[in-house]
Amino acid sequence: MSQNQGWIEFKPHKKKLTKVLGDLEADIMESLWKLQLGNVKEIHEVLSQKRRIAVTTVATVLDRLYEKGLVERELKKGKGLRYEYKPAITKKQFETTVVRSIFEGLFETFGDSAISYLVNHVRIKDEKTLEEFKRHLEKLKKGRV
Amino acid sequence: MLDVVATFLSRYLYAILLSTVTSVGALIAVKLVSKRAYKKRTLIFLSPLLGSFLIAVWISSICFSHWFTMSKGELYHIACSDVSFSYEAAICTSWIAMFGASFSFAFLYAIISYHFSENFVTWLFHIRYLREDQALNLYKILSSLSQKACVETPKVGLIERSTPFVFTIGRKGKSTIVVSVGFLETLSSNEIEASLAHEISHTKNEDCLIKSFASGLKFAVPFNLLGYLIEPAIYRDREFLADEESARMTRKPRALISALIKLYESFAVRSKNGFFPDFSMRLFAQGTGRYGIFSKHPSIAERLERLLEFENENLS
Repeated sequence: MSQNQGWIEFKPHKKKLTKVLGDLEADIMESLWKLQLGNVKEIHEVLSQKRRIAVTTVATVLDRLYEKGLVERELKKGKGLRYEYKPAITKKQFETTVVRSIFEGLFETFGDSAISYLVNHVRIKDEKTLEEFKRHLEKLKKGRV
Repeated sequence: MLDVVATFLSRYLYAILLSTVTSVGALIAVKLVSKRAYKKRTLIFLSPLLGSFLIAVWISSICFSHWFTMSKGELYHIACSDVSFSYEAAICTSWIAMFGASFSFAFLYAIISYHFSENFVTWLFHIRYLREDQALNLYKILSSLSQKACVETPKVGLIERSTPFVFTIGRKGKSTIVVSVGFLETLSSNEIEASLAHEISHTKNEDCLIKSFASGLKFAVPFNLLGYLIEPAIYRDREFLADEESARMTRKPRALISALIKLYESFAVRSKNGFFPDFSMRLFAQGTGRYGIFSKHPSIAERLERLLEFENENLS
């Protein structure tokens, strides 16, 4: 995936992946994560179960996702020329990249306010997550020492 | 001084009048012929463009004859913007300068777009030329269509993009049909055949030559606002003609209709990343943007309507 995460345009009011991707881009990425490997018709088929969309529209959006570095494609010469698409990153990597990028941006611009918000407003209800959080804090402390 | 300016202006007004009469004549002629007599319509549309060009040449010849009779002193006054310059000489010089610049630009534009557009587009879009063994099916379809159209089989150029599009570059006898990978993977074989027939018709009808000529004439005459209306009208008619020829060649107008709809649907998601997809799509069909008298592609609805009309009249 491209090192430049210029594709991350955070829209907090949107839902799910559309917070950082376009509506169609998000749906196509979900389909591709599900498929792992497929041509445009196969991606279109998966997507058609969710929404009505033209196969040519899917192809155009795939071009955009390729330019963003989220999709890889390989030219295959079978019956005719066609691309085989696969996600350039896993969903987990995608989420990590987005979170890191947004937090880095927030800390860079609003350092103190962002940290103080995290400390005062983020409630961790789940015991397991709390343990995880503590573990990370410990790691951080050791890192500083 | 006023007399001199009035004499020149009267000549210029006479020229404008002549040009307007030619245009009105052309408009009436266009209304008289059928909207689907595309070849006749192209000739009619070209006549006012050619007319305005000849009028511009005529004015220039008057200016030139005056210019050559000028004394060196007069030329010096003009060059130095001296207050004692002759107004007629100044007007003549300005006209020659304007016409000279417009004509040179138009001439270069026409020559470049006719002869070198292929090299330019190849460089701009990183087109990869495919040999026959690399695209057997495509060459098979193209060869059969070319035989029907009585033109040489064009070369195939490939652009590695998922966005579907197809367009022709080059002139008759030296043309290339450029397709994207997206075009090959999203359209059915019938749709591909119909779209390729549309492109071959452009070559057969010498559209590259006609379009370069029309654009050249548009640019050649200074202040030729009429040209900005006529040139797109010619382009639109050539598209309709290519559609009709494709339907005649393949006898599958429905396949072209479906290809046009599919390509149009891909316009719904224009790329935010640069001009490429938007520009390349416009080479085949008009997008969701601007329509009307300044558009070089007809609206998709009108194209489908005319194809259905053609089908009803000729193939049912």
